[in-house]
Amino acid sequence: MNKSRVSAPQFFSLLYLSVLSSIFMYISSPEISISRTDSLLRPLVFIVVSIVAAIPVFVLHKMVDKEKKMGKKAVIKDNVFFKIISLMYAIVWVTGILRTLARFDLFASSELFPGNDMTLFIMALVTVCGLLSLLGLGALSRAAIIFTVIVVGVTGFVMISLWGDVDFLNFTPLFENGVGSFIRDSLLFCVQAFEIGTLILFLPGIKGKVIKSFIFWAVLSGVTFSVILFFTVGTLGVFADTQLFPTYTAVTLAKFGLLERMDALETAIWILCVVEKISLYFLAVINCIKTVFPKVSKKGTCVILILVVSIVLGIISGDLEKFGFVSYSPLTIGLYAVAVIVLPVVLIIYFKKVKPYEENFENN
Amino acid sequence: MAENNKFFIDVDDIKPTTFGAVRENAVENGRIIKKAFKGSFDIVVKKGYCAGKCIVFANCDGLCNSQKIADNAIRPLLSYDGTLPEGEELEFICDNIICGTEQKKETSLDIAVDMLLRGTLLIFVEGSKECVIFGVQAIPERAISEPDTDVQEFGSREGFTENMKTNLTLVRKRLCTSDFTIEMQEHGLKSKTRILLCYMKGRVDPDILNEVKSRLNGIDMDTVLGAGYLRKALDTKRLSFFTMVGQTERPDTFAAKICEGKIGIIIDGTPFALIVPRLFIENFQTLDDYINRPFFATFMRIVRFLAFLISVFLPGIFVAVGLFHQEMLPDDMLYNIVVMESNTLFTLTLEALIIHFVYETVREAGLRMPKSIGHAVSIVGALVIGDAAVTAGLIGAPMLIIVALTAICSLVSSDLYQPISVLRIIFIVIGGATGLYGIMIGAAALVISLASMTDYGIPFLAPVSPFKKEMLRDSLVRISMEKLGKNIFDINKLKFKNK
Repeated sequence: MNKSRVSAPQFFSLLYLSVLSSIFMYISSPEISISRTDSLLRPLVFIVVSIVAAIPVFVLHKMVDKEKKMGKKAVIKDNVFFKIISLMYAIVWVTGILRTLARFDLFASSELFPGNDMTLFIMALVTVCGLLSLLGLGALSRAAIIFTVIVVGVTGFVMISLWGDVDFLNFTPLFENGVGSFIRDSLLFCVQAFEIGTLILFLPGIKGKVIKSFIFWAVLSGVTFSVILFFTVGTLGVFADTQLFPTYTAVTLAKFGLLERMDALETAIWILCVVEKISLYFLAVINCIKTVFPKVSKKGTCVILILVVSIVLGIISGDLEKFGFVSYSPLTIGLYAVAVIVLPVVLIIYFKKVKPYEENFENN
Repeated sequence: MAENNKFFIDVDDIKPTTFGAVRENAVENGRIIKKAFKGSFDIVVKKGYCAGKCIVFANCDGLCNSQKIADNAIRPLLSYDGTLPEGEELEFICDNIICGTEQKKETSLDIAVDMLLRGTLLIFVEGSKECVIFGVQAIPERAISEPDTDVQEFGSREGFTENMKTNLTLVRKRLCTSDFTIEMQEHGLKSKTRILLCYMKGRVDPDILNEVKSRLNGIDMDTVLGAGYLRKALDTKRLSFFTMVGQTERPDTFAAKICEGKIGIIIDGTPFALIVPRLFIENFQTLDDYINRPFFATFMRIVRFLAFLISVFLPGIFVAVGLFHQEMLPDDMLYNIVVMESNTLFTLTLEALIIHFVYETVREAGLRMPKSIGHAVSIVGALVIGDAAVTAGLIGAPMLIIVALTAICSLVSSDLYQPISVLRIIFIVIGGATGLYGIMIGAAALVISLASMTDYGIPFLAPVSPFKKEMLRDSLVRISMEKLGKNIFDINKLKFKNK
């Protein structure tokens, strides 16, 4: 009776909610314009880039899985190389937690409760997510299926209620600033989703057609992004570039019957995505730390992690300069490259050259 | 080795005894029993003679049918004027003198004493190393009546009683198949409570059955006086608000669950039987759903589910919207609420907490107090909460409506009342402190914790998550009986498969 057995649709629902939170809390920056119609095509690039970028992860998974089917198991315990890789991954995921929480902190203190210090609220969120991660990938993934239905339903409803505010004059001609600018903006958009890197950790525990589910995930995420960006651009136009959180601003315009403003409802729904995303990162860090320090308990790691994240957030909170560093684009690109491409490629080379397998592990 | 060596004694065969074996001296046996119970007045030991042999009768007064003892055992024995065959006295008495279907010979005095306390008559014959255990039980019991909980509109009017045998009969008459299997166990060092493990052979999963048995065997308690005593052992998620151990007072529900491949436990002395494993979705299903037409059954299940959501979240959401998200409400509605709430003393959070505290207190008082004064408390409660508190400006009318609606909704799924009543207090506090966003974090945590619940290899949220399309036919929706097929629901299809 394997409690943490997770099916591919469940896991990719979790990943879907995770990337969805990035678009919900998308921050405008002077370098990337969101108001141009080009932005509607960025999700298409996202689909292609995500699928291509994940190839090393899947190649590695196939390699290890093939050996496993032959009765061999990769030996990873007490290996310095793997400890270093795990540590690097842990750093990436901790940065992921900090980035997400810092954004949420900024979002909460500027849009939800302007002028209020949200540090305690964010710390409560960190604690809840940390504790939820201890319930395991199975719990997070099974809940993600339910959340996905809720989030898609409510977001679809809110977006449809925005239809009356869409002005087609807001859509500018495509590639107004050139194709180069479009590609650069699209790539910066794609690297937000560096949680793809968690696949390397969790794929061995996922049953079902993972590649098919991954492609479906990429397409569904891309389509959802396109729909959200369509309504953001259509309702706000160039005004979107002046907003810190353009998607949120668009949602504040939505109204339906008795419900005058649905931003609170939509934001509440988005929080589900944030909770899932941070819990996923927490789980990833805890698993990585377990490889580095096998004797440290998961609960102990979780408590330490909650404290570390809370302290760092306490320092970042309210300091825009420090916050800027966490959201710095080159840092995001670096994290994406390391988590999704570099480390999996390094592991592929290692497995090809060293072949750290132990035969007939099932009999041991 | 054990089979070949006739002197071999297995360690498992060695059991501590209190009274030892039945003595050849019948009077001695009677003396031992009297001494064991320290002359307790309800233990009756009588001596008589049959064909010149001394015979001792022992029984527990109150647990036996005295008329039956006199007519079927004492009178035939004492009035017998023939002879008893030497060395076969006991067989002769059983076969030719006493009349009754429940007869058993026993050599152990421990077992005999145990049976004495279960309402049987013990008959000791001079010179015999065995005694007769004669079934004359007349344990006082309540008549079969309609259950107070788990009420059905169209179902049977029979409910379980405190008598284990009666309960078994009620189930047995609904499951006329040899596949319906019953295993008896005894728990509690002092209470020696008998429980019946019921399952459908061929439909129950052997892993789940073994797991249930192993958990029951792990019970180490002096007394088992109710279903709750066993629930602790059967439930691994003790810190959770929810449980995967269900209970019912209805034999028809019990039989239906057994047919689904679940395991039922009937406990002597309580009208509540346990069923494992129980899914979250089952809290919104009733037996009436299978009698009603599918569209109505589905509608009612959705209503029950919405009632659950309302009872958990509505007060918290009202507090959150009132304090943090007033912009969500239309102006007119907001104005009305502000006018009514502005006259009250407390904040919305405190108001909600106070009124829920009062409601729970009145409910608890109504449950525990003598029925004769129940109406008085109801009137006082309704007046105090319903009218005086609003007039005095202690509570706002909108909050009162919210609490009343919540209270009604929380009674729809009676099995969920306990988690609901605590969860809504938690969500009121969260809503009052952090608004809708905090409530969403709490709701996310609640759903994830529910998703983490897996017992006996069955996920609590199945068949919704993990998603099982074919099982959804009888979950929150119910399709027609023809489409459901002969196996309405099979719990084993939801089990995680071992690789």
